[in-house]
Amino acid sequence: MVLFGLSVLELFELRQLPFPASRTLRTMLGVAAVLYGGTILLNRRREEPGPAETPDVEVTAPPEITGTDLEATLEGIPSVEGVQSGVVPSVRGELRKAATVFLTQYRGLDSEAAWEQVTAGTCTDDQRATGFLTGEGTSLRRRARALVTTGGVTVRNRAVDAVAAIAGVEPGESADRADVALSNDIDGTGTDGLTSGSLDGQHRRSQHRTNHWTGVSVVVLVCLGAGVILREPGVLLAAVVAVGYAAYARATPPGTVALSVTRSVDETDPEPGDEVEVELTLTNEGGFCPDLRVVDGVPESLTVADGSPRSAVTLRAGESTTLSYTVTARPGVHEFGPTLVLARNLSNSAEQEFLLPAPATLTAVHRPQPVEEPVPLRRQPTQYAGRAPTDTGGEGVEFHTVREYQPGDSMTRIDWNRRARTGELTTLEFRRERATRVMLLVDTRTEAYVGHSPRGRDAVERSVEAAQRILPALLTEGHLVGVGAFGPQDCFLAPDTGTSHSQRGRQLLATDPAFREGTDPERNRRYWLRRLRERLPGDTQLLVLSPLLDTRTVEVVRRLEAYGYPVTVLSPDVTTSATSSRRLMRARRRLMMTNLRQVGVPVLDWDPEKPLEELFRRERATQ
Amino acid sequence: MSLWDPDDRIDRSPTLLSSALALAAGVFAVTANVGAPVAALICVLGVLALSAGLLDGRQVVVTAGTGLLVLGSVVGGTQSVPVLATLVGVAAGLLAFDLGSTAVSLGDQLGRETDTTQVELVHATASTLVGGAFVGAGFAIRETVSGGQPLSGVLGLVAAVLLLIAALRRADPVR
Repeated sequence: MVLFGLSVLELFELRQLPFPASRTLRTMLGVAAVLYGGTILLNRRREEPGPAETPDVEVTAPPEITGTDLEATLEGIPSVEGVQSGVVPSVRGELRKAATVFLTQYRGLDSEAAWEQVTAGTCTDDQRATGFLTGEGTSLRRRARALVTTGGVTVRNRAVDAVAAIAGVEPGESADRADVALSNDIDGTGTDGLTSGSLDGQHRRSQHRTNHWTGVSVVVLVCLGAGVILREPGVLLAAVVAVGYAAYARATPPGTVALSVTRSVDETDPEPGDEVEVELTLTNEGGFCPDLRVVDGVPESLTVADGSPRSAVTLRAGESTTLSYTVTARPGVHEFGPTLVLARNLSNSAEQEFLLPAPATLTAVHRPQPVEEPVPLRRQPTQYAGRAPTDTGGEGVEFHTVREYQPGDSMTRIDWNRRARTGELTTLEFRRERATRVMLLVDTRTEAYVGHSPRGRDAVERSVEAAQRILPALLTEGHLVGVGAFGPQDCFLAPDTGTSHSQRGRQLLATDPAFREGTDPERNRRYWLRRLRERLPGDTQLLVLSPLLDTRTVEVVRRLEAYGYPVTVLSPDVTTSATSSRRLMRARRRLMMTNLRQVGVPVLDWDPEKPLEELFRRERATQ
Repeated sequence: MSLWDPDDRIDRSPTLLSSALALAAGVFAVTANVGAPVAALICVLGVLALSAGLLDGRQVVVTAGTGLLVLGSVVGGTQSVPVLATLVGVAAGLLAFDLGSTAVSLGDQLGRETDTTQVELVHATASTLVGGAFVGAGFAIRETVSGGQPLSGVLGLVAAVLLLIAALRRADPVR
């Protein structure tokens, strides 16, 4: 400051400063100014974080696509005895193993013969694929040529395709092509490109510089330096302009901001698929706010259909603004998060971040259409009267067998015609009709949260939808039905009957957090099966709804079957044939289904695009 | 490029109004330096870089482009361009930087779909007024102390400003 004053004085009254104005001093000062400008320029990146980022609240996080990761897909294919993929796991080794498994399963070879075929390269007609599998294509020259002509990865993909083809999975038709471009795009980025849609946390508040004006200091210094060295008054004076902007950035205070928000939702209890209008009112209770940037906390699980949950406004003291938008209700409970407000001062040099809570909840519960076809269950008796035919003879409607009369048999069931014809006393047996206890188990393990397209619904959502339709259908057939999670979440409703039970089941499927992604508790991963078994009443058959993508599902189902619970698996197919690694995933799922069918567990392969009725009708026809 | 369906994502490219104003400021800087061909050429390059940066919303490119605008004006100052034109050129370059960065940050935080006109206008007006005021101040200094300023005084001022900036950067009130 003293120097500043002295300099001003020097401008008007000469010879006040103690040092002479030499040429060297001029140059030194000029160079110092430019150098300082340079260091600021270089250091600006290392300064504190700049402007806040805002999440994509409008869109929901897409499900992970099945079979995107080739290595993981290969790893999940069970091995057969006597086949080693090699000491160091490699794609080639794993692929050889997979090919062997598929050959034994679908071409009826024993594992040794299959392994021989794979290593000898006779399992497929595709020369390049064989080359990859046998390892002949690995000489340096060949590899280089492959890179030039086909791009390297394609050879591996052909091999993957050839292996998937053994299991009967062929590359998709042209309809899938568009999907390829689309999904390849996602392969690279996964869901990383998305910021999480939720604005969790409390009333977070932070204040920071935006680094918007950092560059101005550099301009000041460069103008000063250049002006002094070159003795150009114009350049030197240009520094004044830059100093002006720097002062402006400093002089505008961040301001004290006081805001309040209220949110109104026109319907908190909509039908799934309904459009719900949301209105957010933001009121400025403090002084003038020149730049408010608002992003509402739309629930992660909801998509904005119309309007925008974002806004930028200037609010004078006491003024308020309203933004309105509509969301499409998806089944489940959706909680609105706090509203994110970024308040900047006039010069944009400082930014304050606010999270203003305005709680609101949307609950959308399906009123599902019961399945109109009888659900294909396993035959099994219980002591309750009902309508499911069993394999035991007794009283009923449908003829079962004829047996010798035993004392005590009802007179009405004696075959009187035969008695008249031959004199033998025989008793007619009918198919006994009994109610069955059924547990609907929805696979909610992390592995099940996958879908076949980024915009489609994941397997859990599909399964819940099917369970919602099966539950009332089974109840009207007179069965006792329960609902639960096939996974570590704590969600269990014991089999029962009645209207209120039906309501409870519906509510549970629609709102229980177990059916939402990311609720899979770490601690129960190992023990959930034991707990499920403890809770399951005896004489219960299970209908497991699972995408059936990994060996663990198969293992658990087989164990449950072994414990004496007849299991039926209803499996929504969420695999695609878009890329070769996805086709391999489809082949893997096919293998899982075959494995289950081999131990007598019926697997209903459901294409979620088609109605359940069609699937059930077809299943009954084959039984 | 957007991740999958363009309809599905928020368009986070810079907002249109501020981008247009920033480009206008850039063109203004070019016209201010018409007197010196080299300076004008650098400014034209700056405008091109600025528009490229605004097209794909990259702050670095915007900064570089407006940096060229300022550099061009400084080069103009060393040549035959009048002092007022240099002042206007530098101010326009800084204004272009301010508006361009605002467009990028608004686009980044809220997206192009959101109506941001009000905020943009308020900010642009304030920045333009500040720029205009200091161009006036600079020119006034030029007029009052034209010719024969003692060099030692100027040097003292430069040293003082250097120290001032360093002090300000240390003691940041917001931090």
